[in-house]
Amino acid sequence: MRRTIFLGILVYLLLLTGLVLVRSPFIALALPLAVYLFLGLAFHPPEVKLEITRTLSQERVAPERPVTVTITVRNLGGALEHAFLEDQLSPALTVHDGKPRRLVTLPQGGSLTWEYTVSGPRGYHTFRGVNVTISEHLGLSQRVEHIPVTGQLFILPPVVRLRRVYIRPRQTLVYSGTIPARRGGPGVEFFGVRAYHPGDSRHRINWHASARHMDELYSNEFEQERVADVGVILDARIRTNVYKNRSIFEHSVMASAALMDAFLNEGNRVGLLLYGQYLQWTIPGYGKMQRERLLQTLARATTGDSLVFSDLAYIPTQLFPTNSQLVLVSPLHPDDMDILVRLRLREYHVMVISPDPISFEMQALPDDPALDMARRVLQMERDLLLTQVQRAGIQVVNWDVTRPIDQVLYAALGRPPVSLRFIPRRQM
Amino acid sequence: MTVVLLILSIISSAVLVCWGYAAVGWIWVALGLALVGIVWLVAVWRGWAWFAWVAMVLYSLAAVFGVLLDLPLVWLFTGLVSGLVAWDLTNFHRQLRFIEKEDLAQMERAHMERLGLFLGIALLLGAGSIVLQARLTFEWVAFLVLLCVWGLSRMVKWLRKPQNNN
Repeated sequence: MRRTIFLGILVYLLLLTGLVLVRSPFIALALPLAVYLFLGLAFHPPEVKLEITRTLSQERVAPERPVTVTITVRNLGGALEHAFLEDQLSPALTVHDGKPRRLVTLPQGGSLTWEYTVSGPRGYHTFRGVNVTISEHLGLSQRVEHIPVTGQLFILPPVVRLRRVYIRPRQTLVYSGTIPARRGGPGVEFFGVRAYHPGDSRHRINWHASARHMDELYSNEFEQERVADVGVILDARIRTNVYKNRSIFEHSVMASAALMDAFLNEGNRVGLLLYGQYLQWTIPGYGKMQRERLLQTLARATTGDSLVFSDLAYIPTQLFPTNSQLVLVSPLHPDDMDILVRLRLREYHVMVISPDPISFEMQALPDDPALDMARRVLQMERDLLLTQVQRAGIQVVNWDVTRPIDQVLYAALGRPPVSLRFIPRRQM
Repeated sequence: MTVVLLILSIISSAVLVCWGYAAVGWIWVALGLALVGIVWLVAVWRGWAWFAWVAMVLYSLAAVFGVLLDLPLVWLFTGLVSGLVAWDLTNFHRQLRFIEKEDLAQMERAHMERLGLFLGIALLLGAGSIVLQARLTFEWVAFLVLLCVWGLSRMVKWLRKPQNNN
């Protein structure tokens, strides 16, 4: 369009100069420009009638894994001399092989297929459509159309497989699982001895106890194992996750994904609360569908800030059943201490997985004695905070992000913590 | 093929306009126009597509002043036509990166055919106008003014269409 206007101005200036000065050579000079303009406008492109489809080799992938995008274009209208097709990608995606833009000639009824490969970071990426610019060979007359061809690509966070995450909430659900329920019944772990009931297996009779009482028999009781409600709270506040230009949030997301996967694999009912710019609640559920829902929520998760949710005071506790297990994934801020104690006082069994922001920051900083001193001071402050949290009866895992998450969590949660190994029998 | 033709058209436009000025002793202007041609070549190499527009304006102005100075019209006319071809090919050259290898030859051929059609008509009309240099009478001026007004109104109407406002 700019070219048409430019040439039009030149032609008219030459013509007007010729007419004002009454000199024919100016008109002769205007002739080639006018011919060029005329040819451009004479071959004005026809109406755009394109049928465009886009297919993705995968719609859910891991970060930085290549996805092949195939675009198929069918021309249902007249022949198109120059068709510039540009697929509208999410800006976060990186193109590797091929191009999302192509300039082609499309004859009437002709079709075209081309491919390109993209990859990107965790996120929910949408394809909005294809921008089509049709022109004739000289590029003077153009038609621009946007053809909506929607598509989506979920780049899910990596899920690290954890061997076992030991939790022991006070409240369990009715279905059998792997969490000791503090109730006698069918199970594996010894729970206690009770009077023999008719129907008890002979194998369960405790002969030592029975031998001490001439008239009565006693049976061994085992601890029931059941599933539980687990609420994962992912801290997405900028104040705790973003340090200058670097964000530790990806580590928090990875830890959340690994934990949720482990809890779901053990049959638990898992819900997720994103706490950042706003609250995003994924209602609790079981199984593969819930796993997919949670991973898609995590794929969309971003950090944000809001005055209301600047501290953890507004965690909506009514979403989580009392006595259930809460897992807070957060780098932690000193102001969060009171809220964690309050959660504990409400009888939640709270676990904190805290990616260590100090080790994260140190990765990007040079070796410097002054920095090392600062690191030690900060480390002491953080150790003090974590100790205070632990003293409130909260299980804390400090994750040095330079170490793999599965190793850290296995070392910390692979077996029950000492404080939970001997819990008195529940009052029936 | 496009690059070769582009370079040839830039050189020919610079040489032809320079020749027109140099023939009547305007050496410094000729050297200045030659410098524009050299910068245009550098711009093609460096990918400065915007310079083609500057060069086109400069060569158009050179042609206008050349007519005012009564320089030989044939050099100015052919120089302007070459400049227009170079301007067109600069734009096409920029689009080549979006064309796949298998389509390249066909699209280049189609573009050159259209450009050839333009050159044929333009040179024919130009030759006619130079050979039959008619004096502009009042009737001709009145006809051309009416043609200009009609053309302008058509162009404005065309530009105001929503699909052409991109």
